[in-house]
Amino acid sequence: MDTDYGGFKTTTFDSVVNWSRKFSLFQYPFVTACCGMEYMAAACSHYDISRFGAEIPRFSPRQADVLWVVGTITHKMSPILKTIYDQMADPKWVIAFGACASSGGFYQNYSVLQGIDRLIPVDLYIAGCPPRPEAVFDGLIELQNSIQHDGPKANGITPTAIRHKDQKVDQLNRYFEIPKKEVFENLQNPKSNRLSKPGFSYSDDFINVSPHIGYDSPKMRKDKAALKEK
Amino acid sequence: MSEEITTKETEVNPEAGDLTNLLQEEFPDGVTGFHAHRGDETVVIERDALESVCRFLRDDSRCSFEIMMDLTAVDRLEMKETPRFEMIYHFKSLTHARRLRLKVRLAEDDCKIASIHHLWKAVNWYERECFDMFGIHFEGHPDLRRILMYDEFEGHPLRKDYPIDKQQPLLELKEVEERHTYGRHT
Repeated sequence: MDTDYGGFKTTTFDSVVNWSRKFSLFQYPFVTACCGMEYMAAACSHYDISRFGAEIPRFSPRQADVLWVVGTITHKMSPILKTIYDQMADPKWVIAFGACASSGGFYQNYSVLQGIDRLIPVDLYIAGCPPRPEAVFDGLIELQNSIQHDGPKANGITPTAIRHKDQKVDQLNRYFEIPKKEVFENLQNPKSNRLSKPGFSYSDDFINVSPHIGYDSPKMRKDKAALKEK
Repeated sequence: MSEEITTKETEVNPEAGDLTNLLQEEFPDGVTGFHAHRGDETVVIERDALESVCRFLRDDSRCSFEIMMDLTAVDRLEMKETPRFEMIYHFKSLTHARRLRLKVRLAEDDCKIASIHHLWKAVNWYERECFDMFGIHFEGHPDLRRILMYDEFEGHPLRKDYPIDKQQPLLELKEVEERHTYGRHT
């Protein structure tokens, strides 16, 4: 980002709108089973989902942006879920919370719908039986990323995981493969102003970047010197 | 204990409890078998004797079973036993602090039994559930319709000949070929 220090920045209208959308997700919790306990744990103050802008559960579908389907959905319940989804105003997103909502879970019998994506489009699946709050936040952040980059999807779903699959795989490889040599070198690097933590590796241009913006940048120093002289 | 009763249950446990003895005295034709396990007695009775036995169990001071705890059925299709269905009634007496299990066997082609909803109010919904899941008809029930499944559902899902993964969706569903999760699971 080369903004200089002029004080303004150019962007696109969509980017700003999506940015505001992703930090003000009003939720509709469609809670039917034990996953609801984990949802409540994630929503309440110990884990505090409001840190991600998804603070307010709206128990009216017309005021909600995200439909959280939390728990087992039976065939008897499916018309109600479909109605709730249809009542929500665009833009809207759907999260399948836990194994049962994603795929039916361990219920493969006469009564349980084998995944809500057979009924309504789903933007995000959160794995787990039930998922821990950390997994919920991981999913929520993933949804926010997809909102920022893709915008709302009213009809039909191409899941974010498919569209960003290559990018995601690269990112994961960087996360899990520990290039020990690099880490060692970074620790030895006198220029580095932060300790590299084992398990994480930063790319070279990030570690060895010279501060060309900000308070300590050479430009700023020049300007300061010029001001002093004046 | 009469010697005529030579069912499987009597061979397993020849010692009959006092409740069993009482029922045998009162209903010599109704009781067809019994057994006991750790103090809990089970009595197998004839279908026609059900209502009179239940009324006796509720009203007689030696029994006084105030609570109908459970009512369900067993489909013994894969156990290769005849008759196919077995009704199970659980009663509890608060006065005497004891329990009793009644069993009634029903043939597949004639799975009807008298309703006992007028003796315990709790029976009403249990019988509806049993009808819903097993398709057993309770004669004299005031409102015998499905309680758990929806009205469009065909068949009785807890029967052993119901296909284990057969589903009857209410709405039109689409097939999902592939699902992708996010993050480290991809």
